[in-house]
Amino acid sequence: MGGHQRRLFEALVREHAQALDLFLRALLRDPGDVDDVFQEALIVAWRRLADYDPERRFGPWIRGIARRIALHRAHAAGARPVLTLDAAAIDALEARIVHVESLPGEAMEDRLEHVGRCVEALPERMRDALRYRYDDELGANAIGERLGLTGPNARKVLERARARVADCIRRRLAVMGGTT
Amino acid sequence: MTEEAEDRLVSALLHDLAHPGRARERRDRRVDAGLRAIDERLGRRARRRPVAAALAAAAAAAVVLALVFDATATDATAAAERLLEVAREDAARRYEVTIQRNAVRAPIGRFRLDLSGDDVMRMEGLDGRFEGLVLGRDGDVFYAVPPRQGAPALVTESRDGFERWLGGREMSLERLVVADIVSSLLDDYDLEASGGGDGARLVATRTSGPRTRPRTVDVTYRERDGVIVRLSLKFGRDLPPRAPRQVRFDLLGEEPRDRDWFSVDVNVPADRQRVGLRR
Repeated sequence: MGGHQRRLFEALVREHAQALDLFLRALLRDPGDVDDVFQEALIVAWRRLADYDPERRFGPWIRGIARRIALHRAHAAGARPVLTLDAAAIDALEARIVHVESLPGEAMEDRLEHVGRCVEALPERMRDALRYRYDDELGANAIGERLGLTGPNARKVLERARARVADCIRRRLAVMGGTT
Repeated sequence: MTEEAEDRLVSALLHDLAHPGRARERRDRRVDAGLRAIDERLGRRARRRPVAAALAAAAAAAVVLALVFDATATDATAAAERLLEVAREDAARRYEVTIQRNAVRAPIGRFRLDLSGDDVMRMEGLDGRFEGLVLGRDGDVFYAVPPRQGAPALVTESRDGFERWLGGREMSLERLVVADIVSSLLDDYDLEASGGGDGARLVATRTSGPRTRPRTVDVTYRERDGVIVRLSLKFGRDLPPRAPRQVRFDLLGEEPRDRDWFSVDVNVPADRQRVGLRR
């Protein structure tokens, strides 16, 4: 395969890297596994580039490869828990990533702005909980202390906040004519 | 399960939203590592071609040679796979870890390291500047307890953050979890197996992957059960002067321990304030 094909491959990979990264981080427990599967997916995708149909989208294709590698890794790991989701949930995850990719924007980073607007629209307590969790990287107990809640209740607030963000993303897609 | 998938995806999106620079850096690092691995494989294949042609011309003798080399490579890979499988078992093992800046000077530090599989660990500094420091991993939670009475303990769910904290102390999880070290051998190293019995050896030389990984890894293991008895990591001289040159693991024993032994609650004294990591 020539230099032109290598450059084209790199451009495609960079364009779809964030979605692949999100997919694997949602799917795998260990960041080390994400590193490994990400790298292996690129190697396999390059090796099988002749199988790729340019009429179809590159993102779902390379994520399909990554998914098979992750499943194989989980099988080889035996008792070590590798995956966070079962097969049906992985299908749902892929569908959700396709939805996020459908949000308006040149790149995935632009689409994060929509997520940011969804966070801004949350009630103050939920916004604070998300800020403590993601900006300050605090655990549930520490968040609970700041919000005057127990750790388990803080975890519930976080879950509800994320569910509302997910719902908001779906609504924004519907308004903008995307699929939900 | 659909909700769980959505929750995990939104969580990953929120992480990227909170730390866009870190997300970009991590993503670029992953892409660069993948592309470099492809280029290195392409390069290796291109370099091998003339050798392959020469071997083909040398007919029968070359076929025998190729068979011998293939068998050796297969044995070494099989040995590494077995070592990885054993290292990931939930069997508690205790190692003494010696970190040296070079082979001649006194060690930077010695630790007693306890492992049980690849998602729990506890290590305790034995002497020098790390004496009494306790570091640990309990699944997704990482902790560090300084020896000074009353000093707050670090407790975090951020592996990246903990890795950065360790990096400031010339340490890295990548160099401390035996299973992770062995796993990297299968991807980025040329392997050579030799010996047998209680002194079977696997010597790995890095051919790809980040230069922060060891240049060579020398593993001595028990052939009968695949338990690593000594592991020696040697790093390149092109790393920063403060980086270690050599890390050595020596097996001290195998004692059954339950998971609680590694837990945050057992290892972080109740009277210590727990602090997380800030951006």
